[in-house]
Amino acid sequence: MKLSLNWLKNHIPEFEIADNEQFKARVDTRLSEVEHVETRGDKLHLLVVGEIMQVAAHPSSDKLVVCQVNVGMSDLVQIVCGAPNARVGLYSVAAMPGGQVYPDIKIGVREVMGVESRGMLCAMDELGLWPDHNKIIELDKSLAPGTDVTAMFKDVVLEIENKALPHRPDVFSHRGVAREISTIFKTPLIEGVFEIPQASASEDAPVNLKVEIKNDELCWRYSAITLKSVSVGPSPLWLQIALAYAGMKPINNVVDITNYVMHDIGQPMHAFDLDKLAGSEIIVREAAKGEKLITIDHAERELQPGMLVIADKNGAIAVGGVMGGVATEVTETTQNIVLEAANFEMYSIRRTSRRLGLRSEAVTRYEKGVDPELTTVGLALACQMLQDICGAEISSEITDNYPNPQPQKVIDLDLLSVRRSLGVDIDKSRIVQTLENLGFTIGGLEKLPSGIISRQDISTPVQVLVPSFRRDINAEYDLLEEVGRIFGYEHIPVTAPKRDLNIPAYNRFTHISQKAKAALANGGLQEVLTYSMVGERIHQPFGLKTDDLIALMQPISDELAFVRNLLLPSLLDKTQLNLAQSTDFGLFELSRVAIKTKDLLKDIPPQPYKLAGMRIGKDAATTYGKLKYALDLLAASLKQQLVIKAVTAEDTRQIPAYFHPKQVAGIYLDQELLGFSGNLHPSVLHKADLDSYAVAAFELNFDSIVGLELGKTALRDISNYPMVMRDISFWQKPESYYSEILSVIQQLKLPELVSIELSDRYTDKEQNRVSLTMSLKLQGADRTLTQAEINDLLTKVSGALTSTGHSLR
Amino acid sequence: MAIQLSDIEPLSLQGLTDIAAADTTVKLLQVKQSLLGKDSEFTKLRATLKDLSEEERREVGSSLAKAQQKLESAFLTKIEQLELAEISSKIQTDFLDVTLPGTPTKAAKVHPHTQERLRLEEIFQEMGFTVWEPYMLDSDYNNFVALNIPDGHPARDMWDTLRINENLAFIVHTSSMQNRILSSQEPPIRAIVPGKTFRNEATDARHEHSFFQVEGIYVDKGIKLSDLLGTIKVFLNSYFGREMPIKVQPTYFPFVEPGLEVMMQCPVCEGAKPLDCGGCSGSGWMEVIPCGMIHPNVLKAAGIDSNVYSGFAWGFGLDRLIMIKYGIKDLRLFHSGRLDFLNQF
Repeated sequence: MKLSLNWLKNHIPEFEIADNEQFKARVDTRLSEVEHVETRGDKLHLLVVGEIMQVAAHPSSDKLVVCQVNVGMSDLVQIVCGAPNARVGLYSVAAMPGGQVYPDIKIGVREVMGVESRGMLCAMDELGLWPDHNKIIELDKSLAPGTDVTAMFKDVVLEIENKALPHRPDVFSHRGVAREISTIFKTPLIEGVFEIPQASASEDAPVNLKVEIKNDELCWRYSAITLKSVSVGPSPLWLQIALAYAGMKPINNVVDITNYVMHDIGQPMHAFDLDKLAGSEIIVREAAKGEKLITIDHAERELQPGMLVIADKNGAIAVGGVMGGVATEVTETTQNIVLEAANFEMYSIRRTSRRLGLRSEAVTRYEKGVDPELTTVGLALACQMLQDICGAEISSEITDNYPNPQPQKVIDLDLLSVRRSLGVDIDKSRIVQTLENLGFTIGGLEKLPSGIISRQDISTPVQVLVPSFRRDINAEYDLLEEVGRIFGYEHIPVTAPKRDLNIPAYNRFTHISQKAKAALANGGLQEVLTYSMVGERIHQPFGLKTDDLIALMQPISDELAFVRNLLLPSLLDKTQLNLAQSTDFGLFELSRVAIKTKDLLKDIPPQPYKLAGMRIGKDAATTYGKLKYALDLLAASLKQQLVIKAVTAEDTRQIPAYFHPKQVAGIYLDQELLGFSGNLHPSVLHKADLDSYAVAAFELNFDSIVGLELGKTALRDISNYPMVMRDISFWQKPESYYSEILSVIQQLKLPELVSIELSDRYTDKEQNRVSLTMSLKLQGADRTLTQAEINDLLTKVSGALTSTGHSLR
Repeated sequence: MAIQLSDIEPLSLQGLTDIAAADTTVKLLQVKQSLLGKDSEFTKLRATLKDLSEEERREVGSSLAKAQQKLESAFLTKIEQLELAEISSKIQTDFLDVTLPGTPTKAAKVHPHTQERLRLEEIFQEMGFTVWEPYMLDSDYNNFVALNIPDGHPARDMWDTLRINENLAFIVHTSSMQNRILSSQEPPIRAIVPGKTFRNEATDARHEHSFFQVEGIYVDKGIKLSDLLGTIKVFLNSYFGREMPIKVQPTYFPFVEPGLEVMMQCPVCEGAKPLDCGGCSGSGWMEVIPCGMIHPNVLKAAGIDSNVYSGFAWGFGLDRLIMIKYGIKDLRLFHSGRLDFLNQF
């Protein structure tokens, strides 16, 4: 949304901007952030109105013509011009020698391909109005040739982002912003006076304009009037400059006037060519299924029920509140017009605009809730301008269809609630004055003869009458915001809430995830964050189909088209990315995933946390050994409740195919399988072009871990009797697991066996067998163990080993 | 003798049969050599093309090329098949005891987000706030409707939502938990919700479609705007470890009223405002914490009487705070997975 200071000054004539930055800073803190404050027209010098009197061919160019231009001097001035619209009788803007146009073009007397040119006829871009270089600007004849127009371009333009104020339709207009500035800077706002237009006395019979609203839920008000003898042509320069600075391209005087009214007071307007309408009855109705309309942007739109159309008896002529149709568009030959100012239900406008994929300046305003009281004001203003600028005459009575006028909103404001809610005392009269300046009326206040409200004895609560243009104000808290922002939040003190001594609830997830992350990082895995959205590409090496994934409606890209249900593909992708830097590293991630369920329209799908890690290296055993170290630390951080062991027979079916079937273990919490740990299947590596590497990985369901009680540990009584250490060495049974050895020994339930751990391991390559040495710590709780007891314990351990296929050395 | 069109077909058929018959990669490579290699029939035939008329040469040449292409592609499919089969048969003898104790290795780091989140959660927990986690996908109700943003509300344009369907979408803010927290707890309610949020956004150094937010809510009797400012000031000062000057600007979010943007004095230039300041581009201030008083409609949707209770809420970007704290220049680095970035923390 762009606003011109010159235009604003029509409403706040005494206002001046002393310093652009200070102005911006103040509006920033009182209304909304101003994106830019820009001085315009400051580079232009010596611009006059010029009338082209003669046009002759250029002797050495097909594209150029030699114009003789009346610039108000006794002699015509010769200007060479390349624009295709240079023609006799055209009023345009000429930059004279010594002058300057955009971008920094100095004008002098020059030879253009051998012909002298004493100035330049200007295109819109050279005047800093619009990025259009094809034609020279065309003007109406209201300014005499030779009039110096340089000063008309000097202005300050401020821009406020549209998205910043979606609740304030009133500030999508110069009048609305002027009202804010008037309140913020305490400068008077001129109240406009608008007379409802009357048909002019004429010999012709007035047009019998009829309007029928068939759906008054979607169309709240429809006001229209017809005008005749409209002379369509270029707009006066002031109007073209005003619109261009407000961000709309000048088209012709009729369209420009409707746009001007919209930007001035916020009421979108539309003009139809009356002679292109079938009859003089306008029907506002829902579109029929499959009904079509070519809109003024020349696109054919297929309409649907639920969309509102403006129609004549033959069919739709406009999409209500969104865009007009090309068939009834005002063109250069138009003489009679129907002028529309309507009001529509805001949500339906937005829905229609979305469904058609069609935005317009009208939609920007209507979707925010335009004041329904504005339609006749808009007609009055537009009729006045059409009469003045286009020589039009009113040719019908005004037709105003307003089935359900909006009631006046009244809110009780407790002046003391300002302190309760904002935490600051604001003088009662200041509160009242602020609201009045913003257009609210305060009921029950005595007026002094001078018209100034008596501020004595303002008793609370006060009745606040809400102006119709503030549809966003519905309750006391809305008023408090108005008071607070104009008062200035910087004046609000900083306080601390009064609080109880309750301790925040313990968050298991936070606590356990921090522990788990620290353990994995200490174990050599770098934590990464990767995108939760994935594509086909990273799943392909894993042999996984994307069918099992939840798909996005409109993904950002193919790479981000699905919601992931496991983390390993993302980790492999990042592993590949980092290979250029290192060939021995590991990564991990903890993140939610989503599990596809049947009825995603109704249900929020399960979104468990998964924890996954990956390590790359050159050799399978070494690489896995390092990954396993991180897992060992993880298990230790969870007080050994997590166990990595051989997959049980019943769980083998669940081993994902992307793991190496001979190099995979299960991650268990008691009997619950949380996930797997192992080396990736060589076929995965092959497909990922990692044939010469080994990649170890694990992924587990973290939610079960979050449920763990870490506080409780069964303690063993400390014994003061001697500890005996003994080693047992044996050949491990081929293709058996260390975890099974531990479990076999634990099953012996020997109370004197305090601990057992692996102290040595070597591979006998000749015979292709592995030797393990386990260190046992033995201790009696209430006595010194005898040699016989020790031997007996060792025999039991050895027996368990030999009976499960291992052979003692 | 010069090549004939009729020579190609049988040669090609034979080639396909040979490729199909090869049962090891070694054999297949031999087949390929004999079919398409230097001394193959194909190569010999191609050498005789020059003896043909130009018209014949074009016709025969093109079918020769097609046949060759067909064989090449059959070869590629087959080699992939055989390689995978060989991999699968080899792994049967490739046992590894994956339950052995691991081998110690050099430590790595947790992500800067984890480090900073820990600090931030500590600060808020000390101030009495409970920590909640958001979902990743949530309903339209929790994302929008419960937050006073009904369907069709123009404010929905403020969030470019990544949708699964009409009802389900990636969370656009961790405010998605507000309704759940407010409706399940009795005041006084103090909660923060750190979590990952998602927007349909083109990425550059300052924009990401995936980023982290920390929502905060406080509801009790007599909570006022000045308490919000106090809470935020205490947080910023503790997080950055020094007094951080702030200023406040009005802004609009449908779920708060009044809505505010807390700006912090740019810690890079400390308010000196050089135009090339990497932190604030010369404005001297940074928008850090959008916040406000919880809209009565939001309290009402959670069954809290707004005549008795009031509260405030904020939702700030965690990434931005971390970027400010460490002078990180590119937001995308957080999700990049790059070790050279991550191992510096």
